[in-house]
Amino acid sequence: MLRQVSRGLLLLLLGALVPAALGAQGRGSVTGSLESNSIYYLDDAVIGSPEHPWGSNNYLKLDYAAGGFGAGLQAEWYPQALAGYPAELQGAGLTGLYLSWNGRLVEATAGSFFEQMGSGLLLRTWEDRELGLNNALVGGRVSFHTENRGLTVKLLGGLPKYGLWPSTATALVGGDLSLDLLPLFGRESDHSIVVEGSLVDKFTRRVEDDIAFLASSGGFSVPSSRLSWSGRLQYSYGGFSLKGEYVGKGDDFYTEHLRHSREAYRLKGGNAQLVELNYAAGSFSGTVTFRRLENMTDRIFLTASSVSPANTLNYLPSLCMQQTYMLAGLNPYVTYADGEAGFQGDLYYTFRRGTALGGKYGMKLHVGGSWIEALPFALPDRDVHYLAYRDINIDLERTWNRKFKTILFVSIQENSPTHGNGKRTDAQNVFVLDALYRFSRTVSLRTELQYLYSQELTRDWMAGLVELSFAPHWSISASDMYNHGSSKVHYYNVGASYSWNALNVSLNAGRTREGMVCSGGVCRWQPAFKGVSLRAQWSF
Amino acid sequence: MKKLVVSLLLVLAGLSAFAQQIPAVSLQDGAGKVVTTTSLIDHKTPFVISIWMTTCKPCLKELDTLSEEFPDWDGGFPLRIYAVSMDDSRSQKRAVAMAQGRDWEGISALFDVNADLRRALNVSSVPQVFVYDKEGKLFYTHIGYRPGDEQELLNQVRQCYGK
Repeated sequence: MLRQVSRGLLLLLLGALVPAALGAQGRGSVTGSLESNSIYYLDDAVIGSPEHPWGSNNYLKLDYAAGGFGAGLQAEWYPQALAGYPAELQGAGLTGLYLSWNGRLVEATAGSFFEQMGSGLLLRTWEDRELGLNNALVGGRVSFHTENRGLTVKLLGGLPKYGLWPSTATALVGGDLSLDLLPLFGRESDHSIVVEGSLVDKFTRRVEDDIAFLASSGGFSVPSSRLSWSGRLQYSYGGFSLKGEYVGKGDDFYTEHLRHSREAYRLKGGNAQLVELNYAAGSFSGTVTFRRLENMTDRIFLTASSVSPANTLNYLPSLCMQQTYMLAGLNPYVTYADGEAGFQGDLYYTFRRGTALGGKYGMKLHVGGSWIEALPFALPDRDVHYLAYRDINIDLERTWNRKFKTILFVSIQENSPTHGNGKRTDAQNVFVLDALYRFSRTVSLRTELQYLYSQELTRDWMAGLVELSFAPHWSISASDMYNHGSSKVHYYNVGASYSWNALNVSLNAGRTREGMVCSGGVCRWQPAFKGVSLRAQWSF
Repeated sequence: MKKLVVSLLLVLAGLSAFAQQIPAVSLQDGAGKVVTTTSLIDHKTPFVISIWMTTCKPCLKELDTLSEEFPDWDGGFPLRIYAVSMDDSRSQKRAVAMAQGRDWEGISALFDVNADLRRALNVSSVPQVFVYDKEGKLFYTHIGYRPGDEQELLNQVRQCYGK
């Protein structure tokens, strides 16, 4: 154990030395960050305990820049990954080495890089430390743009990272073309018309688990090369913008959902359509998004490690509001990439200060909602679409005076946990009052009162939070979520946080409820635990 | 092992002592036009970059409060605040709508669509504010927001202008 810890620290130290030496000589600049999340788990007979008594995830990132030249690295160290994190995160590794050149018209990167084409439906690689996901491509990328950026061309190729190392099971080669038409033809205008297109070829080498799975499913075969593409069009003028995207995916593995919970496998292409409409004028703005998905799951590995959130190559976020209050995010919707279609809309309006409703400091209103249906071809009955998720969210923020501010939030949600396959939905209504009172210019108290009403799942919940802040350095908090409608379990927490410039340290103790942690259509299962957690972040 | 920990922290502390130039990164404004971070340097006044996300409540509180403080600004020079959204493609349009609909007076909204600025500044949690001097050198940064932090931020901007 001690040897493992020393090896991890030595790796982090070596990683810091080279850029430090360059920076110290005044040749360019060095930036970086250090983050450490550690939890000591305590036994809890009520909610259970993780297998290992502790866990620790640690990250060091360093970037060196001189003129157009850049270089950097990321070192990650998991002496024992936190409970619920993917099994492939073990030990230490240099996970983000790169060299880059950023010229006047040409940009090039060799090594590790993140890439997104369009909205990410076709391809997206990114890092999310809450999920334990980093699927950066390791390879090369070159892009060229004209002086006025009317034309941009990008070519790339690489292996997606899985865990601490690149996976040799999948390789990607792609290209992207963007035409900003008016500058391209030398016209200056308030209008903007952008046409874009992308191609991605995915080459797959079957790993052992995939081969075994395919054999067990009747010798089913999946092509080792698959071409996908997307076309995009965007128009904007002033506060108005309209964007459309179509994605076509070549033949890929597809799971057919049959009656009586049976499944069958076949080859099937995929496609997706996305339309976004935005309008803003004065203190009003609105946005509407339509999206349809058909067999859009895209993985690094076909089967064996598919439970890991890192086993993904595109971005399919759920088409609904990302909830931030404890009870509102209790049962998040997970995208049904096999086949869904839906809308999401949001309206924002500020009643300006000095108006009858705005008062002296203004009042902010947000109304949003979404409606998502599972499509017939992705359901056992094949003949009818079925509700997968819908919600309405309203929040009203009012600053009453220099000392007192309130937020009233209501969320009405209906979710089908089986995406319509089981034809059952769970409804829940969440009410939140969030109030802030300032005792002085630096001391303030924030409280949250929350209630969740439901006749399904775990029925009713209530929650409360008290947070006392002493700006600019300290805050302490205490919270509790109580499932009084069913399990009678309390999820209590107390914590303290300290900030000094770019250093932030927080210490928390209490219970965490089991549940899904989701982002970008990717989720990981967080087991319940009681423990003491220490989190430190430092950027420089 | 203690030596290793101390060595690592010393090296990193040494790195933090160097004044950092704002990295050259392309962002977008609400209409999708490219705005480079270096174009924010006017050689006359300091400026503030506030990194935020639509799902970050402290971020919204900080920007709301700065907007409320804006009419009372008494620094004797124009206060320049750029709210840079880290929202990804899922919520980027929502960020554009939110920035407009929340009516942030005196704050210009920019969008870090491909997380380039986030990576270049090594932002690991939000909100984080950066005060850059008139030549684009980092003068002050702070992670997190507590009510009252805006006073310290505005003090730092004044000190940066007067240095």
